Amino acid sequence: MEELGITLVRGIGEGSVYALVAMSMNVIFNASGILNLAQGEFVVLGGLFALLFLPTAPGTAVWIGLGIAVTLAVGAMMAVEGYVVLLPLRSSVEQHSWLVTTLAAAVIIQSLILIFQGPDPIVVDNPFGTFDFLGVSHPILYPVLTGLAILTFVGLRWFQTHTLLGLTMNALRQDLEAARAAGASVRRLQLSSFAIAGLIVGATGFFGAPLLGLSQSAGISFALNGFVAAVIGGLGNQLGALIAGPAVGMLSVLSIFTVGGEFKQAVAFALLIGVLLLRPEGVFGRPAARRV
Amino acid sequence: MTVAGDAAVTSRHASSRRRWLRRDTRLELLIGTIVVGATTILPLATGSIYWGQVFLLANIYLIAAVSLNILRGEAGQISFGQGAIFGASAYATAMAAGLYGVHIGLAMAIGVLAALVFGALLSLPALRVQGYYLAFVTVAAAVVFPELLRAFDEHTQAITGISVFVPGVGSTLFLGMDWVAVAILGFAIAALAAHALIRSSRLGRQMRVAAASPEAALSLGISPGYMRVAAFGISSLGTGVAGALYVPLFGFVSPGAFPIALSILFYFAVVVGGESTIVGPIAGVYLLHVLPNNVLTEFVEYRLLTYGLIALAIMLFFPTGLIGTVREWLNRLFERPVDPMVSIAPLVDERQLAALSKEESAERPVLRVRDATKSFGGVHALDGMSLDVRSGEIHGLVGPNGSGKTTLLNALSGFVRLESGEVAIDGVRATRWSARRRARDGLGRTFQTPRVFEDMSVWENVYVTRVATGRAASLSPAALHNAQARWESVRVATLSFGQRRLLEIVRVLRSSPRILLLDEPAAGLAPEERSRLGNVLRLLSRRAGIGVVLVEHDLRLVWNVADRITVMDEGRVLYSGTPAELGNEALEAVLMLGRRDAESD
Amino acid sequence: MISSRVLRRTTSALTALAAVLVVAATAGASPQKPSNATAAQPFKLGLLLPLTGPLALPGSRIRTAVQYAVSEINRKGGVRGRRITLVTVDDAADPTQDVQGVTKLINQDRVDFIFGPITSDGMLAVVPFETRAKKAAIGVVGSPRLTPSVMRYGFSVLLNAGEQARKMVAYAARRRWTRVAILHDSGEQGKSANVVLRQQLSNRRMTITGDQEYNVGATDMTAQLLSLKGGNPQALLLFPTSGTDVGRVLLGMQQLDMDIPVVGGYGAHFGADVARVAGRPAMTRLVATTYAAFGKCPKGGVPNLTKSFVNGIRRFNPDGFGTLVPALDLAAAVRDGIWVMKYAVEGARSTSGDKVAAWLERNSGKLGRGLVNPKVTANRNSHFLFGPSSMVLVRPGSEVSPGVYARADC
Repeated sequence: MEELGITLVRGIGEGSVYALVAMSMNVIFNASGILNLAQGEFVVLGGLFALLFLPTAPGTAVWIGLGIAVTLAVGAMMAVEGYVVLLPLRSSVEQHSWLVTTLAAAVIIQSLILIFQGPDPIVVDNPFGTFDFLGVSHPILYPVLTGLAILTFVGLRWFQTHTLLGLTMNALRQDLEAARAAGASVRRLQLSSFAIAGLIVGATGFFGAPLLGLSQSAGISFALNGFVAAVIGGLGNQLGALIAGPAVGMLSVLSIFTVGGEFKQAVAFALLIGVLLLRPEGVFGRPAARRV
Repeated sequence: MTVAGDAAVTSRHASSRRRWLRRDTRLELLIGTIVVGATTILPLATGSIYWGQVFLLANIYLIAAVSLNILRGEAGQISFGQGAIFGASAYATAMAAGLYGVHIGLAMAIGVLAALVFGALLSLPALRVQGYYLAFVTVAAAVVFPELLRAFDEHTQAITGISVFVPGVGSTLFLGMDWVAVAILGFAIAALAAHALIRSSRLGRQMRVAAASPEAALSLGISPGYMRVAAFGISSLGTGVAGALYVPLFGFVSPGAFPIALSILFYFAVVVGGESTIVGPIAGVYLLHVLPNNVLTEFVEYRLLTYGLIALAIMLFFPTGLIGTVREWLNRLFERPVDPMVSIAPLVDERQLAALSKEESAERPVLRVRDATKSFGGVHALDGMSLDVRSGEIHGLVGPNGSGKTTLLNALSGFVRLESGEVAIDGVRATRWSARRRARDGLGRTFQTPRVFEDMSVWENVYVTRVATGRAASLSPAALHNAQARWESVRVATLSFGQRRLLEIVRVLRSSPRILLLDEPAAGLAPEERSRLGNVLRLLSRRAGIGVVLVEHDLRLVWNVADRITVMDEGRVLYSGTPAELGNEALEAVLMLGRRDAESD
Repeated sequence: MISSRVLRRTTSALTALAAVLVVAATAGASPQKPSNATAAQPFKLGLLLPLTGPLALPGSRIRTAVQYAVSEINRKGGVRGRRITLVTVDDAADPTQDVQGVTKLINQDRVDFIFGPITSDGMLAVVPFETRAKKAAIGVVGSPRLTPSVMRYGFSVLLNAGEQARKMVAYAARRRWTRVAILHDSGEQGKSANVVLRQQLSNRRMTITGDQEYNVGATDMTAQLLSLKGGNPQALLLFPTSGTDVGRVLLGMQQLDMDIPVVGGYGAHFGADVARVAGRPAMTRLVATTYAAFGKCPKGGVPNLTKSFVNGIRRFNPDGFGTLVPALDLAAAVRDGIWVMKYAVEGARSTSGDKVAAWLERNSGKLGRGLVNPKVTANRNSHFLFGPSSMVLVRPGSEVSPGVYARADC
C-alpha cells in the first residue's frame, strides 16, 4: 500500500515536473520547430531566485507575489535566449544551428550560475508541510506541482484557442519548415513562445525548489527528462506531455522497487528508446503521412 | 555499336578521366595533413611532452569528429552518440588488455569491433526515425552508457577504472614519436583522407542525395536505409579507432572520461568547424577543446564559459561553420556566372535510339495503370483511374489542383501504395514493387522543385548513379564525357532555375529510363525556357524512345507537345485522347475546372 | 572555381598560419632556465581538482583549504625558505583531464609537488605519470584499491572508505544489532564502501536485510527506503556523497515513519548541510564517521588546534566561511596534508617522489606537532595519512562548536 502511495504521489509529482518542462519545450517547438536544450537551466534559475530572494518564513502572499515576479523575470530571460538562438536561422540555409546554439546557451548559463552563485546546492525551505496518504507522509508540494502542471495545461489550451497570439502561434506548427525560415513577424511570434516557455519553467523552478535537487550542474537532467516526456507524449502535443510526464515518473519510481535505484535514469531512457522504435510519433502523436 | 561495346567505351573513358579527389577537397586534405602533422610532430620533436600529449589527444578527438562529420555532413544523420561509441571502444580495449591480459594490438581490434557493434545498435533507430528524433535516441544512449558501465561494476571494474600497461610507450622511434604517436598521427591523416575520398566518390554523393532528399534517392534507385547504415558503419569504424587509440595514450580508462559532454564536443566540433568540410573538424577541435582546456588554462573557472561563448559566437557569425564560411567566401570571390551549361540535345545518342525505336513496338504500352484507387482519410485522391502510356509517347496529365495528379505520380513512383488497381511497367506487374525497384527497372522521375544539390558541382549531381546496363543508353557516353570537363567546375548554386530542371532531367536520363514522370516541369520557367523544355520533351520521346508522363498546369505547353492527353478531376479520368480529338471543348472544360477551383478558394 | 595561382597563395598562407600556431604552441614548451637551488626560487605546488561539474562543491572547499594552508606556511617561512606558489588545474572530475592536467603540471609548469585529484579513478589515472616522473602527490581519495603498490609516491588525507565501513560495522556490533539495511549512493566511494560493508557484516554474521542504491544527486529516496523498511532492519548503514543526501534520506525516513538509528559514512557528518534539508530534530538518531579532531567527548574539550584552525580559516576567507562550515574537518585534513608535504620535503631534503615517499613511510609517527589531526599513520602498507586511529563516530545533530560534534563512541 505504501509503495502505491509513494508511486502515486512522488511518481506523479516528479513526473509533473517533467511534464512542465516538456510542455514548455512543446510551446517553443510548435512555434519554431526548435527544441530548446537549455530549458533545464532556466528551471535552476527559477530556484536560484527563490533561494536569493525568499525571506526565511514567507507568508503565502509574499511567496506567491515573489513567485510571479520570478516567473516573469525568467520568461524575459528566456526571450533573450530565444532572440540569440533565432538569429542565425534568419539568414542562412543551415537550419540546424539551434542544436548548437541552445546547447551552447545551456553551457553558458550553467557556468554563469557557477561563477556567481558557486557550487553549493540550492536548498530552499519547504513552506508547506506534509500530508498523510496510505501510511506515508508526503510533502504537500508534490501535489502542488501536479496542480501547477494541470493549470499550465489548461492555461495553454485557453491561450491557444482564445487569444489571437495563441491561435497564430499554434498555426505555425502546420508547416514547421516554413516557420523556421520565415520573416520578421513570425520571428516575433517565436520570441513570444520563448517567453511563455520561460514563464512555465521559471514557475516550476521557483515553486518546486524545495523538492528539486537544484544546483549549477542540475540543469541538464531536467532538460533530458523533459525531452523524454515530450517525445513519449508526442512532440508538440501538450496533452501527451501532461500525461507522459507523470507516467514516466511513476514508472521510474516503480523501477526503484523492482530493479534498484541505480537504474532509475536508465529506465526513463529505455522507455524513450522503446517508444521511438515502436511508435516514433509518440503515444499521442499523429503518424507522419509519408514513410520514407 | 552494340550495347556491350558502348559500355566498354564508357568504362574506358571513365577510368582514364577518373579523379579520386575533387580539386577543392585535395587542397583541404593537403592543408589538413600539414596542420595535423605539424602540430603533432613539432612539440614531440622539440621535447615538449605536455603539448605533444595535448595534440595527440586532439588528434584522437579529431578522428572521432571526422567520423561524425562523415555521418552528419555526408549522410545527414544527427548523432549525439559518438562519445558513447568512443567510450565503448576504449573500454573494451582496456578490459581486454587490462583485465584479460590480451596483447594491446588485439585489444585495440576488439575495441574497434565493440564500436562497430555499438554503432550498429545505434543505427537501428536511424532506419525508423530521423532528424532530431535520432539525436534523442543517441543522447539517451550516451547518457546511459557510463551509468550502465558503473552498474555492472563487478565485470567492468568501472568504479575505479582500469589501468593498462602498454609496452613501447615512451620509447622513441623517430622525431620524438613513439609507436602510439605514429599510430595516432597516421590514423588522423587517414581519417581526413577517408573523408575526402568519400566526399569525392559516388558513394558519398549517393549519401548526400539520400540525406537531402530521400525521395529523390529512391527515384534514382538509391536506398536511403542502406546509405544510413553504411554511414553509421564507416563512422563507427573511425570512432572505434579513435577510442582504441585512447588506451595506449593514457594508459587508463574509466567511465568518467566519456560523459555526454564528450558527444556534445564532437558534435560542436563538426558543426562549428563547418560540417562536410574536410578541415572543419580540425578547426572545431582546436577552438572548442584545445583552446579552452589547454591554452587558456589560467582562466580556471571560466573554462566552461569560454567554451560556450566560442561555440555560440561562431554559430552566430558563421552559421555554416568557420571553414564552411571561408569556403563560401572563396567561392563567392572567385565564381563567375556561367552561360547556360546544360543542354540535352547534344547528349542524346540519336543513332543508338533510332535503332531502338524500330525494335520496340510503338504499340505496346510501356506503362499501364488500371483502376488505381487511393484514399487519404476520407478523401478519394484516386478513384479508379486508368492510364496507358506508350513508348516514345508524351502523355499529358492535366486537371485542377486536388484532382489526384500528384498522388498518381507518387503511386507510380512507389512512394504511396495503391489500395486497389494495378500498375504494369513494360507489361510486367509492378504494383507491389518498391520505389527503388521501379527506379532500377527504368522508371524515372523529376520533382516540382528540382532535387539538385547546391553544394555539389553539376557533374557530381549527374554522376550519382551507375549507368544502367541491360537497357539502351539514352545518353551518349562520349558526349557525356565531353561535358564532364565543363560541368566539373560549375557549382549548381550558379545555375538558373530552368538549368536546374534540365540538370535533373539529365541525371535521370543517365539511368536509361523507359518511363519518365515529370511533375510540373514548367513551373517557374520563363517563356523561352518553356519552349526549350518543350523541345527537350520531344527529343526525349521521339529520339530517346522514352514514355513521358507530363503533369502540367501550362495547358498551352501540353497541347503543343503531347501526343495524348488525359484530363483528371477528383481522382477520375474525365477525358482521354489526342489533342486533336479532345479539341477546344476539352481545353475549355479544363479551364473551367481550373476557374471553378480558383473561385472556391 | 579557384585559379591555380590563388590556390598556391592560399596554400602558402595557410601553411604559414599552421606554422605560427605550432610555434605559439611550442613556445610554452621551451625548457626553463636551469634551476639554481636558490632560496628565492618558489616552491611550485600543483593543484588538480574539479572546479566545474558535479564535484565543484568539494573541489572549491578543498581549494580554499589548500590556499589557507599555503598562506600559513608562507607566513612561517615557506618550505625550507622557498615560498609556495599554487598552479591550479580544473579537471572537472574527468580522468582524461586529470592526465592532461598532471602532464601539464609535471612537464610544463614543472611543479615540485602535486595536491589532488579528489576522485579515486582520477588518482589511478595519474599515478603512473607521477611515478615515472618521480613526483610525490597527496590526494583526497578514499578507495581501498589505492594501496602503496598502486600509489607509489601518492598519499591521501581522506579516511579510507574500507576503514570507515569497518568502523561503522564495529559500532553496529557494539550496539548488538543483528539486522541492518544498507543504503549507499552510486558514486565511487559509496560503491566501494558497500563492498566492505557487506563483507564486514557477513564476517560478524549480521543479517543484511536489504541493500539499495540511489543516484548521486537524487532528491527522493523514499522508494529505496520503503523497500528497505520491508526487511525490518534495526538500523540503517548509510554511505552518502554529501550532507544534502543524508538530509533527504532522513526526511524520507520521517515520512515513512522509519524511526531507526542511522550510521553514516563520511559526508553524513556534514551536519550543517544535513540540518539545512532535514532540520536538527530529525538528526537525533544519526551517527557518522569523521576525523577525531572534530569530535568531542562530554568529558574532554575541543582540541586547541581545532579551534585555532577554525578561527584561522575564518579570518582567511570570511566570505567563503559559510560554504566551508559543513566541511571544516575535511578542510582541516587538507590543510594538514599540505603541512605534511612541507615536513616530508624538508625531512627528505628532496622533492623527488621516491625519497619523499620513503621518508613519510618511515617517519609519519614523528609528525603531529602543529597538525589538527596529530596521528599520522602512513607506512609501507598504507598511504592513507589518517587511519582508523584518526576516525571517530559523532552525532552530527549535536554541534558543539562550528564543525565540531559530540562523539557517540566515548
